[in-house]
Amino acid sequence: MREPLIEVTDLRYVYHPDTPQAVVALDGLSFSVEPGEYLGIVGGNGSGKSTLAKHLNALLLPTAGCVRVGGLDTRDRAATWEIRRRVGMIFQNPDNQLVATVVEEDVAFGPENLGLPPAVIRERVGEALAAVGMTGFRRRAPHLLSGGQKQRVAIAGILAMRPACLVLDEATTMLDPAGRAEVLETLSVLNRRDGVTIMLISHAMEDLSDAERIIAMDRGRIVLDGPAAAIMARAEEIPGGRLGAPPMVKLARWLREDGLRLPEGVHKVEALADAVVAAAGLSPQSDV
Amino acid sequence: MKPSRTRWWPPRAFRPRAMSDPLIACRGLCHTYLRGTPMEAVALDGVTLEIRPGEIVAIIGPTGSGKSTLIQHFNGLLRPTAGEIRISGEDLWAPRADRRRARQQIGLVFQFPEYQLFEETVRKDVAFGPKNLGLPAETIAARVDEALRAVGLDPGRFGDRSPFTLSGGEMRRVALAGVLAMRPGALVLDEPTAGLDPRGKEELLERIAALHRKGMTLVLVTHSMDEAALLASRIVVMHAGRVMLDGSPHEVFAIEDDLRRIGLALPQAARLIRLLRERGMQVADAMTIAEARQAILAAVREMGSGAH
Repeated sequence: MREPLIEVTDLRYVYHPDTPQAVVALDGLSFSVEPGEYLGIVGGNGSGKSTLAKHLNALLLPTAGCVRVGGLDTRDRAATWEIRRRVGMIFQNPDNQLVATVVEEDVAFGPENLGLPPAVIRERVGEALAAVGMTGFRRRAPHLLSGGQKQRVAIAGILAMRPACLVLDEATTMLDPAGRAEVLETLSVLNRRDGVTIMLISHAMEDLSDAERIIAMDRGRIVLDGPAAAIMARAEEIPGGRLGAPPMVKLARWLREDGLRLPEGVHKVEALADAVVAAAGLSPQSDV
Repeated sequence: MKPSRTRWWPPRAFRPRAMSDPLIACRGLCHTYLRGTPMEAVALDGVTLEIRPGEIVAIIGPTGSGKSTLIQHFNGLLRPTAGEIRISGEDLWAPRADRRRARQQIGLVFQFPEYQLFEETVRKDVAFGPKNLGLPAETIAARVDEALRAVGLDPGRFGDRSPFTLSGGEMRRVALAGVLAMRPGALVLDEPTAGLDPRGKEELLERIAALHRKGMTLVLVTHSMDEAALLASRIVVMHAGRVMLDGSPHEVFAIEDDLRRIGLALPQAARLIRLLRERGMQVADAMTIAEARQAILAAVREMGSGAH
């Protein structure tokens, strides 16, 4: 039997413990992630999403409970580098993640630090840039790229270390719609084609429309964990009330209240258009 | 003393001398960064634009289209390399121009303004600007309370807290209050909702709409077509340092192909309507999901009455 890629057990994290400023950020979380999953983690500001993300590659260590990556305990200092190679993190601001003056040098930074031979590094950089569709930009200066392109270079830099899992913490927040779509498309391809496990953290439900499973967080706890469509449909019930339904889910609910027969779990614009047309009796293949 | 509730924006001192004067007017505005160096980059390439008192205008455009450069000209933070910028009719870069006054008149709220909070308490942070104006303590206190209420933060509850203990959305509203406490005639906001969760976004957008109802002139730079459609009565589309389009949301979203070409998307409601038409449904325009609901219901009823 395969073991889970990531296993989080009763994870608790307190900032400034034993001081008057102590804040419980994570309050007993348990879940596991299987290899190849595309998991979305959603929660409002202050729900603990980012604190959780930082536990997944040992940037933070549990106050109590345990995080295992491929069986390695994050508290085991000797395993830290292997854990960080396996779980790559992408953050919100692409400008803070690029280190070199040429795209391919930036992507080579990780594998160079792994001490790989130059020929292998070149091969990996080529592969990683191709995987994110940035091969044509290899000799460009990163700071002259668009936001979406920068984030793709940052992803390539992680891919070049051949991680098992990518964790993206609000990685689309600072991008314009085109950049956001670019990054989401890249993730979807990496997941489907290359089997890379994706954990996409966001407070925008719309960002998670490619995820298969969604975990919703509130005040340091998991409040919902299930198939994406089911969680989207219940977005307004998520405790804390900070999320709200994606616009198409809300519109579908209104139209249902108005008497249109629309199926549950519709959250993409295309799917809603099909459902409305079917409910209106326009399409011959509409009757189920 | 109870402050007057009637029309405190724009404050009398900063009202345009004649209402026919645009509050902000640029003519042929150009800006080139690092001019004369190999890194030279043209950010604005002849922008002509007027913002009138009481308007709420969204400026949209892809990254690098010049939006942020443009709004930094609105209060004299950047000097045009060519062209002119006038605030309430006054040329900002004329030899004896009062740029200090213009800066007070146009309140600029940068992206992620909460990074600029620094004081120990919310009240002190909001008071920072008015204090630098040399106002008497009582006036400052009144302005701080007024500004905090305007952003939906109860001064009694939040005033003495450290800004760093607040949620992201609350911190951003404190930063906004700091600008409002200067009593600007217009607010220019760069990506005001970026990084906020849906509830934080909704709260901030409600506050922005409320400021507008009180008569505040608003310019909103945003990537979000949905926000532009929801709030603005006029949308300016920037591309490659120029104004590509300037019109009502309906006019702007009608040219979907052009928007898509420059990397912008329609609001989701408008996309849905387009897809419904492609699928043979005759349905009216909609910019927001509330409008889409009405349009779809009307279309379905129409079809029903035709069928029977």
